[in-house]
Amino acid sequence: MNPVGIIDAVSWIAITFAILVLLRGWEKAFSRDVKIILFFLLILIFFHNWGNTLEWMGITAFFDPIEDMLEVLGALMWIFFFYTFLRDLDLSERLRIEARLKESETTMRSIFDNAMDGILLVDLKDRRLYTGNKRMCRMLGYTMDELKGLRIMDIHPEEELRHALDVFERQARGEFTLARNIPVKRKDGSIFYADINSSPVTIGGRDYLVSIFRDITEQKKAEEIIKEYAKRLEQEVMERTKELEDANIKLRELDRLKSMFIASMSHELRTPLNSIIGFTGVILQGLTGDINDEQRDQLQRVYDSARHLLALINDVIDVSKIEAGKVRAYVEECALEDVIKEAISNLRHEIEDKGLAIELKLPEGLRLWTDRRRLLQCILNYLSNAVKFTENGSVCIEAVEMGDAVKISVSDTGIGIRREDLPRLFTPFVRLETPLNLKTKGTGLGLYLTKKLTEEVLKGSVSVESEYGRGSVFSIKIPKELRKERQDEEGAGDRG
Amino acid sequence: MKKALVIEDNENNMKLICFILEKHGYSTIRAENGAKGIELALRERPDFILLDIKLPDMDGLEVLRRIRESEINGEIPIIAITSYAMVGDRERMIKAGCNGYIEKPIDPERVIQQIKEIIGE
Repeated sequence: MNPVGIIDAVSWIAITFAILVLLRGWEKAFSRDVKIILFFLLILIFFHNWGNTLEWMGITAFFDPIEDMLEVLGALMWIFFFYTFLRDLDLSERLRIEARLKESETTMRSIFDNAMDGILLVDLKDRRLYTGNKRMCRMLGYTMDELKGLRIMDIHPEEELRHALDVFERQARGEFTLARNIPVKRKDGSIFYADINSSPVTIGGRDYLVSIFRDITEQKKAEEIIKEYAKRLEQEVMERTKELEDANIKLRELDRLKSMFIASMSHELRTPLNSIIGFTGVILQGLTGDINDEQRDQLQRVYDSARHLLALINDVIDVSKIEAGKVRAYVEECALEDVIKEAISNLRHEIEDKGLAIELKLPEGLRLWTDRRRLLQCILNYLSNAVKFTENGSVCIEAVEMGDAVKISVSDTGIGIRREDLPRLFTPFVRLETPLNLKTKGTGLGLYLTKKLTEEVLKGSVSVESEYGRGSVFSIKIPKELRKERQDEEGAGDRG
Repeated sequence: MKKALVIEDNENNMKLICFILEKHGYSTIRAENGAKGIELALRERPDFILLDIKLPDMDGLEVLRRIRESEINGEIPIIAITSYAMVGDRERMIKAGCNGYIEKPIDPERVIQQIKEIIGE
């Protein structure tokens, strides 16, 4: 050996160091084994050098066997060193895997333990709880150690045990996963309800059932509270509705009574009026003997006023009867032309007095199934208005078929109606301001009555178009065939 | 001279109708309620009957039915006196066997003509 051998040895050590540091980092460069090996290496180098020094001093022969022994020892050391080095490489790999496993387990465990739901692992071999998470322990009120080894029947109430076990077995067979609303018994015997989601798993050759317990007690409580609120709300609504209905019934009854009152009141008014009209008429007719012109004039005024009053009363009766819901349609077949001609005939005096031309535009032979008398009343109202408010010109009655309906219009060349007055036309007791107002008399109910009759008895609608100063067109549109209703119209309060 | 039975409870109406009838050459007998009306109809055998449908003791319809069911069944024309707007009664009376109706208020000019048409003179 020469002194360069020292350098050799030191170099080897340095290189080994460098490799270790590179491979494992400064901190973890040496395991305990490596440290021992290095220690021996240093001793070896020391003796190695000792040998060199002696050789250098010329005392070599004496130490040769030692040096040989050292050479052999050194070789063994190197082999041992490489073995250890390789083993350490493997060990470090294992350490790394272990660390990773540990990290992974920590993560899993923290997820497991912090889950909102209780998780339970049941050994399917002996039906005992194998493990559970913290949440599960808290749910059941057991410590982890107590939990392990419990049987299925320990965590369900006896009364429902059969059902719970059945569910367990079927989940274990994988028939279904989610079982709802299962009663679960705590350590203290109290009960809570859970949805249990279970799946069979195999871990390390053993079969388990992983069950996830969701405590639905709060949910159930909330649901019950909501149900309770809903029920109370419903009840409240029902009560209020009932109150409203009662009030409504009372109101309707009052309204009906009012209308009834007006109807019967008017009826009573009519009886003496009939006498006035009758006897005045008899005298005017000369049946009681001659009367002079002044008497005739005055009696005629009595007669006309009584007639007007009667018309007014009749309209009031009609309106109040309609409002009291006492008017039903009397459906009969009739020819529209006949109805219109009757209306014209009723007004012939007025028409002749004014010298108005009446024009008819009707579909030939049109027959209707409707309340003839009410239809006549409506047409009569329109026609008498047209005649009343037309001084010169003509009145035209026109009917147009529109599918199942017919539209009957009465147009005139009269004074017309201001646009702003149109919406008020069909309301009761409206008398528009017109230049003819003083000369014309009416009940103020005619159009309102026509609207009511058309809508509620004839099941149609009314409309009007007008140009101020030019004339108006009043129309009703009614079904050609009105459905028949019960034939029990007016009540006892209206006899006479 | 034809004989008319007027069954009417209102005195004014009774006088008016009878006055007009008499002025036109009819004789009249009067009943102010249904029972008397039926009795007079059977006893006096009038040529026609004017029957108010609202009577104090019974419905005009009932009077009509009883007369029609008696031995003078169908022989005597019966004319109902109905009020304006009493459609229901009017139809019921016709259906029950009335020969016709006249409306109140009575029109002195037309009433005789109406009666004649109904009784077929």
